[in-house]
Amino acid sequence: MADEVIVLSGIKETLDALKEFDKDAVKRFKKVINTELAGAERDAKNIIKDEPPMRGWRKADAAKGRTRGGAGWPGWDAGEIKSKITKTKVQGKVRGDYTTSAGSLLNKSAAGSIFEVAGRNTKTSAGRTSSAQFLRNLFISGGKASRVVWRVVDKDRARIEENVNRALEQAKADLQKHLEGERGR
Amino acid sequence: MAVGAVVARILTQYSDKGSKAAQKDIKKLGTNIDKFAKKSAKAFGIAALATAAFAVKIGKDAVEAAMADQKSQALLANSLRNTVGATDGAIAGVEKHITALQKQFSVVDDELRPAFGRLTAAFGSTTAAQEAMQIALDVSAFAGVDLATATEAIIKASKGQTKALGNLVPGVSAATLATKDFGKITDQVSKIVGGSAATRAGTLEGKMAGLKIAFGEAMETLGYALLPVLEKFATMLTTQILPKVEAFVALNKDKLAAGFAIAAEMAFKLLTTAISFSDWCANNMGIVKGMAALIVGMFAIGRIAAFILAIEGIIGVMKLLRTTAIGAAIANAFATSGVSIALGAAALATVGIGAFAVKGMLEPTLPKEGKKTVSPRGNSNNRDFFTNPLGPATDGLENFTNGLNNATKAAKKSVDQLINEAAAKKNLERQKMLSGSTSLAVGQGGKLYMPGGGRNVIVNVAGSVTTEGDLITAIANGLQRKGRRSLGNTNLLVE
Repeated sequence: MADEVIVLSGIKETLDALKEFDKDAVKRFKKVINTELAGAERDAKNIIKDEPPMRGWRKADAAKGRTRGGAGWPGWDAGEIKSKITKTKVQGKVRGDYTTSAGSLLNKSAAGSIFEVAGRNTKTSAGRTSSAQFLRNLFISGGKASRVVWRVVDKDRARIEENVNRALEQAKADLQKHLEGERGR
Repeated sequence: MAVGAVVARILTQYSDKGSKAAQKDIKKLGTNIDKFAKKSAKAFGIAALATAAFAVKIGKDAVEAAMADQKSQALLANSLRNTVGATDGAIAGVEKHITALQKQFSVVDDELRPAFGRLTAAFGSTTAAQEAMQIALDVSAFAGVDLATATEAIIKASKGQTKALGNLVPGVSAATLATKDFGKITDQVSKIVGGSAATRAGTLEGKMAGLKIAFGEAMETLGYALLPVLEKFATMLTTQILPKVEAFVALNKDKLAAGFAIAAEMAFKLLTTAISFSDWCANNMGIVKGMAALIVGMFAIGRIAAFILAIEGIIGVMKLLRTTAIGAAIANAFATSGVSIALGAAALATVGIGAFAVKGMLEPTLPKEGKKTVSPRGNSNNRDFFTNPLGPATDGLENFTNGLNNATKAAKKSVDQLINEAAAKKNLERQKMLSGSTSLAVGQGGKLYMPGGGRNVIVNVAGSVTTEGDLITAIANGLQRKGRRSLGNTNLLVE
């Protein structure tokens, strides 16, 4: 995970104002965001293999649920997992540092979420319990958590942020140019 | 955002929602701080008041302490002067010694001074008194008695009365006491009790007493600072303010008394008037309301002209009545009940109409559909002018005007009747005036008129009558004769 985060400011205000002068510039900016998010989404989906990460992970949902609060262990359906890896620009909840999301990746399927975060807070141990064996096998096949969307984000966030920030600065510059042009009339 | 999904944020943006919430929080915090500040200010205010009150108490105590200390010093100085002829310098030295003893042994100067004064008087010198004072202090601490008791015992011992000192210091041998040698006795006493005062001063009790004494000294110091101020104030009060007040009162006592009396009388009148007026208003609230509504209605509607005409009409009737009353017959008629009834009827009618008008104004009326109309000043553009809101007032005035007109008509009718009745009555009186004697009509065209119950007179004419004149003369003579005999005086009208 990148240590430094670029906080974009004034996206909505800039786009709202820029819309009045140059709709193409707005489209260009949105295209940058969408492209970057789509690339991240694609990268995340590419992580998901058709075969389960471990031999005993069935492809179909458990017929009789006994785990996960009775819901049963979810089957590894690569198609469903990939379809539920999506991008979003919903702002979401504002954090205590007065920031919110301008673009995120979601991993919404049950199997995909397990594959994403399993062992994140649990160290792999040499124990002979089923859960310890599960984590060991998962680590061998998929590596340590996080494994899907967070992995992509950690890998590409700096680049994506930089690209989007550059596009935003360009949009602001375009807006400024238009405003100065208006003032000069 | 999906629930239960793993969310990986890529892009982060600033949100003013948070800052608004933060601003709100800061504002709330500011409000809380303000409240706290106000409460604090209040608390501090209370504390300041308490401090002020405490300061007043401190000042009072300080002054009292200073006064007591001053008194104590003065008494000691006087005693020293009288007993050993001490100078001011010696007195100051004694004071300094007493202050030192006070600090050293935690004994208040108010106890030290009397003791020192008595010892000086007993031993005849301040030096001997200082030595004896030290012994007395030790005895006091050793025996647990106050300094005055210890001092008294030492003084008695110096005079050969050793019992008291022996009781306070049991370690002194009876043989020593029996010698009555004050030097030996004090030596032995000093050996026994020496250092007791210093030891007591070193204990917690002694230190607390010392602290109390130090506080008392501070109070006295403060009091000494305040005393001149109070003295100056007291002097100014007694020498400047009070005499001027007394002089002013002496010069203006009569005016002041009269002024107070007038003020009291005026206040009483004003109060009485206010009470009576308020009583009248309370008892006649309906009239007050009605008149107010009537006045409002008069100025709010365009029917003032009709009202004025009605008033003019009734004034005309009154004038007619007055004119008619000039005639003697009508003047008499006015005194009769008929006229009074007629006027009373008119008055009652008027009052009744007024009451009806007021009643109509005060009673709730059915709501009428409001419509815009021309304003009283003729401004047709004033579309805010409605007749409906003033409905009760307009109805009341209309009723009053109509009633007034009806009353005027009734009054006119009464006047006509009055005139006819008056004329008829005059005729009756004229007839009554004539009804006191017998009337007789003679002649072909005459009619027999029989007032007063009627009386028939038959005239018998005897003999022949040749002429009409003879006939009349004969009848007249016959009637007079007849009248003289049976009717008395008779007025005879012959036509």
